Amino acid sequence: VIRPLVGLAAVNCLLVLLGVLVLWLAGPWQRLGWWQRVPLAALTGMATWACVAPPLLYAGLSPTPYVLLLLLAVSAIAAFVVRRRWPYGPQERQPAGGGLIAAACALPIAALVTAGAAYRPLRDFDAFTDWTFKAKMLAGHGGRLLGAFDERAFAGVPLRHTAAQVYPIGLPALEALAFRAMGGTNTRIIHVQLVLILLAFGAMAWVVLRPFVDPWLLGAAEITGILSWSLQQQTLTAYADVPLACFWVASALALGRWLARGDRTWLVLGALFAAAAAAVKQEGTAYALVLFAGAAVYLLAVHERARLVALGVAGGAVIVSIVPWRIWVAVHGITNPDIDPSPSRMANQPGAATHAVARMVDELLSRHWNGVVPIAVVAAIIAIARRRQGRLAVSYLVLLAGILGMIVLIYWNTTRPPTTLIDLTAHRLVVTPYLLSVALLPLLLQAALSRPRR
Amino acid sequence: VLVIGIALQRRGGPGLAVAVVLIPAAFALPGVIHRDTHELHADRKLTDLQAQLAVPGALKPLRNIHLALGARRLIPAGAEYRWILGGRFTHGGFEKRHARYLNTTDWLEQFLAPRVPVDGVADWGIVLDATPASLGITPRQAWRFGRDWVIRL
Repeated sequence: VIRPLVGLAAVNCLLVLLGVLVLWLAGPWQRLGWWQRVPLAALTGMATWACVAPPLLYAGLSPTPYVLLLLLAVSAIAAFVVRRRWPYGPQERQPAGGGLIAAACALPIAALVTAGAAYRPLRDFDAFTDWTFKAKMLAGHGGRLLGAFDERAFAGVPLRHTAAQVYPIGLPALEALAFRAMGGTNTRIIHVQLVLILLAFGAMAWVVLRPFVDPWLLGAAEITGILSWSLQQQTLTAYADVPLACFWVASALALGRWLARGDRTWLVLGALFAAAAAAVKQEGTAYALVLFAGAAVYLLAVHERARLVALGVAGGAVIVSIVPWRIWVAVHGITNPDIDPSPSRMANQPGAATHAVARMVDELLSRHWNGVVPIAVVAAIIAIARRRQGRLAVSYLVLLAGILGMIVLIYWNTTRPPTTLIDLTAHRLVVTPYLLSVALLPLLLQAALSRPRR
Repeated sequence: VLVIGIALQRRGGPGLAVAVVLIPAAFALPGVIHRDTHELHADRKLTDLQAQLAVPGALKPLRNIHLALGARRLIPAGAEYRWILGGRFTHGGFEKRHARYLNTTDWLEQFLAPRVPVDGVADWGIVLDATPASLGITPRQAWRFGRDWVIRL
């Protein structure tokens, strides 16, 4: 047990280092305090690997720590050159503190979930037949630098019965890196990597939101968030839904900070996290579309059209990031057997949409999600009624409706019996709206329940 | 939760908001801790081999564990193999045959990864529910595991 855990810890330290270099390159590094940099670097490093590794794999490289070291060297050179030519702006002075106390409070439950992850067998169907299977294929082929991506495995017989062939390989690339660092395909300890993504997301949300919200409230919301039984179970399945939700909500938070403060470094991070969401699951592309369209509508509504260009460039970068994967899928003639968008299909199965809405609402009201989404919605409505943080509250409601609408649209275009697919998967697709609500809950409650200013 | 809320509110903090957030967590905490620890204890009891042989609920338990372990020992990682079907995999209606085939091969393909199953020519074969001789195959080497075989072609 010790050898793989040490390998996993070591490779995640390298990923944090990658995140540090990306933050240095993108700009937030120098603008944040020391205690804010490293927590933000963890998720940034994982997101960078999830984005960059698939094209490298298609190009013939392997998902190994050696390739990660090469990537670190390239990032360091790029950051040095860019920052020498364009120095940083002034450091932001912003409220901080409370992070260690919140981390200490969350530690027991995080440790329990991590221990559970380290012993859990690979017994969940999609991880067994898709995500971790692909990671095993990547880790088991090729050498230290080249040759891991084997087309016989990804476009051939093994995945022929499932939609798995069409899914992007950001998560398998991250798991394969962990397998290589662990020295073998340990299918129990690999679950810890998924828990680390969730914890890194919690740290990232803390860094982004702390300047705007009381630390007690932020800490309470994050602890309530991780205490959801359903979230823990979804994390431990080793499916891509939790990484997708973490990267997408991280992108929403970074874009929100850019919209609120105008610091472009956060726009860069928002684009990176959106690209990572698109790299781990194909719904990520649709979710990124919702996010960037929402940001564009926001800028139009507040009459800041000049910033649309920067937003468009960031959105374009996200689209460019999925091009290698889409080309590979198109070249191999792979289609999704489960989802095929078509107006006639939607007209023929209107019941799929209503059933999807009913199942999503059922799921979000379930006690296993701790009532976070209903509380956040009520808080947003109260905030709007009290005219406090109205833009934030409206943005949350629009984004929540947008993401739920996109999920319903996906279900509406299913080629399978609709109720079967919806009933099988609704509990995991709600992870994204749930984490969005967890992240924004403290801001919304602060706005809804704060005392009037004198 | 209420004590924390009142204390924070008196200090001018967001006590009510913290209480609103923590009340669902307080209700969830005992159940979550109980289920987490119960699952952890159950999973800790499994040996590594038992954990590797765990089967997702949607798949039926594999009939021939020795075949799985033997094939993984014999076929080199990264090598190609193909399925060769006999017996019950060739009898009955298409749906039944297909279901039997998927229930067996899907599980084994995941278990044997990174070995790659192919449809065409391969150096290795896994013969299900038949002998190589009964199917007219003369392998270079063959290993028997109950009613199934691993063969080198």
